[in-house]
Amino acid sequence: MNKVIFLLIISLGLLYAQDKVSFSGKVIDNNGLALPGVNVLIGEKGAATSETGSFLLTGLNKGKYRVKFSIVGYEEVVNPEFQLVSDTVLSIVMREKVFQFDAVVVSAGKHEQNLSDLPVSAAVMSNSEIERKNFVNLDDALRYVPGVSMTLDQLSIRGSSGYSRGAGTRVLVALDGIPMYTGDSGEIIWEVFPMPEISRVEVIKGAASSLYGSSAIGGVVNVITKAPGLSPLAFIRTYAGFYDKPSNESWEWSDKTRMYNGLTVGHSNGSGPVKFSLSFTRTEDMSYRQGDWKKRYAGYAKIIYNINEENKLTLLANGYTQDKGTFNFWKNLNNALVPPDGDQGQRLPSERILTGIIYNSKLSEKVSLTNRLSFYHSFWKDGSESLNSSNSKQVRNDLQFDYNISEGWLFISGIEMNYSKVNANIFGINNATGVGVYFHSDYKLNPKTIVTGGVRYDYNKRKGLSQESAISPKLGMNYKFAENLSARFFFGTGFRAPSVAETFTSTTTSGITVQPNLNLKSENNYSFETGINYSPLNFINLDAAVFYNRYFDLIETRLDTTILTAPYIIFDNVTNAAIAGFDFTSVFNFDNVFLKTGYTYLDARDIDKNKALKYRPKHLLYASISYTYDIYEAGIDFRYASKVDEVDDELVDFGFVADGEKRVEIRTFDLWFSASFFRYNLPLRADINIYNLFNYNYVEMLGNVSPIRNISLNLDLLM
Amino acid sequence: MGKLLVLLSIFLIISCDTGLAPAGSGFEEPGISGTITFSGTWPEGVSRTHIVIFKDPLNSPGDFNALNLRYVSQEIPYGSSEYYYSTNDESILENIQAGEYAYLAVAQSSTLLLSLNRSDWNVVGLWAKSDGEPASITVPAGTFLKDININCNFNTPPVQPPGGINE
Repeated sequence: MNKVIFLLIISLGLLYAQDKVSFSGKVIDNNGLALPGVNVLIGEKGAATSETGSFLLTGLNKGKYRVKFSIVGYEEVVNPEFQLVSDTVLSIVMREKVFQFDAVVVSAGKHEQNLSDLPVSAAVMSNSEIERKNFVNLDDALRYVPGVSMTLDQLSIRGSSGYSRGAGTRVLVALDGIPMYTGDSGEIIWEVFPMPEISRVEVIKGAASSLYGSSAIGGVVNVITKAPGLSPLAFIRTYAGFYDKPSNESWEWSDKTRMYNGLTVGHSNGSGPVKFSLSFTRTEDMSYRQGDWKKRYAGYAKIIYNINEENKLTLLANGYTQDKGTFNFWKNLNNALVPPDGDQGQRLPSERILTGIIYNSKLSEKVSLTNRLSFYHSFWKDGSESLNSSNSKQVRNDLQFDYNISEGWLFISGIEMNYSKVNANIFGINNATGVGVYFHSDYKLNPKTIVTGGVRYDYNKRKGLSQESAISPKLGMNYKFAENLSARFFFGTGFRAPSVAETFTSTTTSGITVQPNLNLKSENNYSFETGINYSPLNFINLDAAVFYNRYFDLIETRLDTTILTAPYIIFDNVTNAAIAGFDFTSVFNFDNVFLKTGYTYLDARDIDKNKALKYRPKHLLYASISYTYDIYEAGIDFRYASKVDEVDDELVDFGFVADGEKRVEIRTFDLWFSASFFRYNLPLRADINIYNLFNYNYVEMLGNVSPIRNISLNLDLLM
Repeated sequence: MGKLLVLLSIFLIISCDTGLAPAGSGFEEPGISGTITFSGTWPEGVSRTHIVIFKDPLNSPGDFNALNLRYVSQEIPYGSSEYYYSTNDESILENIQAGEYAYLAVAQSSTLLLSLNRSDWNVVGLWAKSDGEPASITVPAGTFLKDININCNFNTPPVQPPGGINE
């Protein structure tokens, strides 16, 4: 297989006859990035690649050798009969081994762990998956993680969230460990994540407030950015695509082909103790819906300064400025790609900037310190009748100590503080403060058993309102029956303090009035899961889990009709819910064929009303199959979500969204082709994506048709 | 080869379904219809009889409110032995969309005007589970449910929701 997948290219031939020859070259990954630390073996001699991916072995006799390149997380490159007849320079491309379950490292638990050692279900999405499918925003990528669903921009893990109109999140999303929800609405801004700079995305599928505090009630998504190397590398990433005609002729509203495109230019380099990555991105989308256009400029910088062997400083700066039209709901089902007349022509300009300083220090052989200081600025204004605007600033600091008490026993403690200041006509002039103290321990009871425990105390206060506190414990265990069979158990608790937006919003948009609710209190939950992971053969991995999550005082929108002629919406603690279910994932890697499936069953019930929770599909299925031949790859992805039983009926009943009750199951196919020319020393990768192959029309949120069929070409050029 | 043909057939079938479509292209207006049958002797003093549908369960007298009430049929003539209803026909209140409804019943009142006071009403027929408790009913998007029939036996009235005449 390796002979097919990987090609060894001899770029320099015989120079002159001599007895001793050298063997050197460079190892890169599928994206053309240098791979340091690769073990290079030629016969009995070996070396490891440097930070620039280079290696050199000298004094070798001419002859036939077994050559092997290996590193954890990548497929080995082996040539059993390599003829070394002269000084030889090779370029080696190594392919990421997405299948190697026990080799995948995750850091969403605030320290690095093997995925196979976790007590809770988790998933990892690699950068090759993200780049191959040319996901423009992170939420687009998360739709392809088993057990995860999106309702427009609202992320839900195992049914944790419905749709809250951009206020609050029940999944904590972090960038290199820095939480990324805004100070005003407490929402995740997906456009702020630098997609071309992402190394991997980790998803933890259980309550994690014991480490992260508020918002980690339904799980954690940690986005890890790429580490810059020491050798200079420049890249250009560009894509262009278009939306097809709607499958229903009567929905056509424009004669123009609706295009979208983007360009990222980046550079990374290093010298001595300093390494950096910089990139600038411009994206534009005319959209398949009227008035839904967007144009964005984004910048990203990551600078790492290795002060000495014990101390490291990382500076992260990331932000964008964006102008876009707004599309809240369709006009009606006959005009599904057009907004109501009164909403047309509205704009929503916004700016978001994150600045983070991460300091790592090894205080002693056993104790290390990590401090994450961040500042997140958010500004937006809309064109609704209320001319809403908001300017928020959030400062956050997380000081964490890791103590390796003994071999197999890690103790973590930390204190996290955050302060948000909001100046908005929609949320008022308000502020919120939070302080959390946490303790966590992983203890290897014996070679087969890892026990995890932890607790966090949080204190939260919103301006003018009484303080709230929460204690969030957790307990977990991972037990390995054998090398290829392990079981896990997890009990965790979570809570979420109401955001400034949920508490203080006062506005009218698209005819819908929202009023503040000063009596809003925190929502909380406990979650339990047990799972099993089994690799019956070295190319098959199976994972199954059952879970039960109980939620109390969930904050949802409620229509208040005390005044029948002027009904309004408030955020309220209205729901006690239970979500039970199971999920099953499987990965098969037969030679050049890769097959991945994930199925989740959810029974999400509102206990008080004994009915289904809003926007929770009962069945989620994701399946993907790909085939690799030489430098070419092709694949099909399939996503299915059963039709949700309940939506915001009030919006339909009171005429805010015409035909809002119309919905179907979600069922989409994507087709993609990819060619990586790196192994032919051409610094280029090309991808073609056809999203929504059959042009199937569906809504995630009422009155919002999801993207119709669109086709794009993506080119990555490395220099 | 056979497996490939099956796979291709599945693909073709899937590709024919384009999901949501404008009205008039296969979508039915969602709704419910059925027949109400009456047995026993009609009680005296009843001035109006209606089929009513509530969105959420009637767990307390407060749940008997205008917001929760989604459908009120035209009056069923006094003394009827059978009555056909359809939520898509003319009615006093018609607000049936796709979704789950917790309470479907036939109720009688002795008031001349249509009252929203729970204590003015007596339930005489109920869409119920086998144990007699109220059963919810789900109207799928684009689907009109038929044969949602209710038998009203005046000799064995169903379970009453809280806040009735005798409470």
